[in-house]
Amino acid sequence: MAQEVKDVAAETAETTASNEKAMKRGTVLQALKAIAVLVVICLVCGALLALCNDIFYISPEERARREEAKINAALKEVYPELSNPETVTINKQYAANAMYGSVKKVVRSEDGVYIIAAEGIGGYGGSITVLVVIGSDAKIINWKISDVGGETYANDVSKHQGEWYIGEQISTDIALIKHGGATMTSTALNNAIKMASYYAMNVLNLGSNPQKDAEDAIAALLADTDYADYTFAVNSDLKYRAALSDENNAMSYFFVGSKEGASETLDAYVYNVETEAKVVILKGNLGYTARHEQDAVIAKSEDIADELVTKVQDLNYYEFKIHGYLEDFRLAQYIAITDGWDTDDARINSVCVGEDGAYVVNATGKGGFASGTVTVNVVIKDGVIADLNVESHESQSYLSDHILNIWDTFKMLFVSNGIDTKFDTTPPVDEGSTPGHTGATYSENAIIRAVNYACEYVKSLTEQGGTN
Amino acid sequence: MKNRIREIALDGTIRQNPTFRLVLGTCPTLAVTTTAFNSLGMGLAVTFVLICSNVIISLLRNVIPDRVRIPCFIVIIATFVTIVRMFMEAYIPDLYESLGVFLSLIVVNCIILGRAESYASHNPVGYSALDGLFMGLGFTVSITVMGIIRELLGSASLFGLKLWDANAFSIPFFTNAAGAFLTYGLLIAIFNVCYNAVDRKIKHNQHGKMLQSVETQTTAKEAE
Repeated sequence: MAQEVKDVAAETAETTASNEKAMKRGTVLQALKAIAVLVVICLVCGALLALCNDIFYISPEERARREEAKINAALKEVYPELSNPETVTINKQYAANAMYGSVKKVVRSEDGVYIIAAEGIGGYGGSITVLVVIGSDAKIINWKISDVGGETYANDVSKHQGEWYIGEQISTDIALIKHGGATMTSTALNNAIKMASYYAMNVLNLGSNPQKDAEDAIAALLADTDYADYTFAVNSDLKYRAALSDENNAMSYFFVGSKEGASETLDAYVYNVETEAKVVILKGNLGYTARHEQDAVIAKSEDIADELVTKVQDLNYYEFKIHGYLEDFRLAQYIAITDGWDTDDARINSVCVGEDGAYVVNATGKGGFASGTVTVNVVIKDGVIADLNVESHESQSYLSDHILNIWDTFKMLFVSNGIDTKFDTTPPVDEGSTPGHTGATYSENAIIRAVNYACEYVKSLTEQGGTN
Repeated sequence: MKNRIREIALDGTIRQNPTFRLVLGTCPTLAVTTTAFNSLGMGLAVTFVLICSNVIISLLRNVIPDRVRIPCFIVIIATFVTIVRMFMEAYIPDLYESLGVFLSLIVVNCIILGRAESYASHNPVGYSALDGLFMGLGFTVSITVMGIIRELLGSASLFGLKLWDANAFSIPFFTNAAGAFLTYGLLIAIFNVCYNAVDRKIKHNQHGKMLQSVETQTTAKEAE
């Protein structure tokens, strides 16, 4: 009995093992079948798609033709008078602007009207492409959104086509027209208009363009051989180059500077003393997408530019003045004397130190009695008076008549003398003494006192071991 | 058989209308119905894919193992969607550009996968094809109606034809996403109110007929 039970148990175990094996085999087979079916379906579908791809193939020429037709239809829609449209090659230098966007296509109509397809930056990475029609009088004739890009409210803004910006003069300062609920899209539209304006002003020569004028001014300035040119650094990371021109008796200078480390680049700054015109030109990718950040960068750049002007305005002014009698003078340091060096006889106003170690001392001498003053520039080089020049004079009626007429002879009394020389003042006429060299004793005295004091100042500097 | 075809037609277009009753395929319903033309194009594309995928899936229903049925369905559906895309790009480029990414998204349209899973994989080819046809028609008509309403109110045009000056009267709200939701919600409400009313009436009539027949039978028995 026990043996039978054992046999049955063994038989059952064997059957179970066999079933499990078969089940496993069945499962594997099922899986293989599933994979095979899936693979076959994929292959058949792939073959079908390959066939369809061949049937519905669109050649590159056909694609180009379609694209062209689409663009032409859009152009015709935005400017119905379009005739013989001619695609203008895009000038890559002005085809993109970090603040506004980019220009994708420029078409010229036979009547001189341009249609510019400009992409305007909106917000949060969105942009729209706008066809902007600009007349030969640099006014906006029409616009149309051709591609809504990532801006979802383009339809709202499109409603104002034929209303907004129409008839306005192209400008990169064209005012934003805000549309409630579609602020980003209206910003993108405004930027597209600005981008088209920017391109039209710079490349198509439409309208007035202060930036281009400024760039032209820089080019003209650089082309002119008669300008001072020097490079120096305000601090370690802010370097710039300045040039000075005295053309038409107007001092103008520009800076080409950069703040190292990226996006805050001030490429050029033009300043004209007479007109006080200044233009900040920003180029290159500012690396910001948000409008308020770009505005901040521009404001900062303008601040830097203003700071530069303040710092070098005096330097350039004095250098400019010195150029009148010392052409190759290159200013290294300007010292404004605000206290001290002021006596009853004379005072030192300022000192310009040249790169070659020459001193140009601006000194004022007092004539004596109730007379006025004479201000001179004394050039001292290597401890010797190299030149002398009258800058201004006050209440010295004899000066122009007597001294200036014989200036070249008169100044030789001082030139080539060392700074240790003490020039004697001629005793005043009213004190009963003999007349002076020129017959203009008060003026002469004023000049002598100024020269003496200038020499004394330079001597003190030399004794101290150089400029302070 | 005639009854079955009638049932399939009624299910696809009214009783199980994918848009207004089952609320399936809402993504293209909301996104592409800015114009009637786009809606019609999308509807026809979905109908084509529905019919073709239903037919193929029904044909292969006994071959496709259960555990890989969903990947197989997706591959088949994606194939037909790609064919539709290629066809539209070659011959109807304007519609192709208008529908944009939503054309590719037909692959994951719940209506198609739902019908493949619930109907085509359990029914013969003929009925599956009819199911695809009527489901597609139901979807097409629904979204075209929605497109007509939105285009009329939002753009003052119909199938691209300007009917009146949009500046004189138009409600641009209807061309926006919010307008799509509002239109969709209102149409669902109207459709279901009408459907329920008709359904109640039919049931009432059927109930009346049933009662009448019971009464007739009772009277006849009593007379016997």
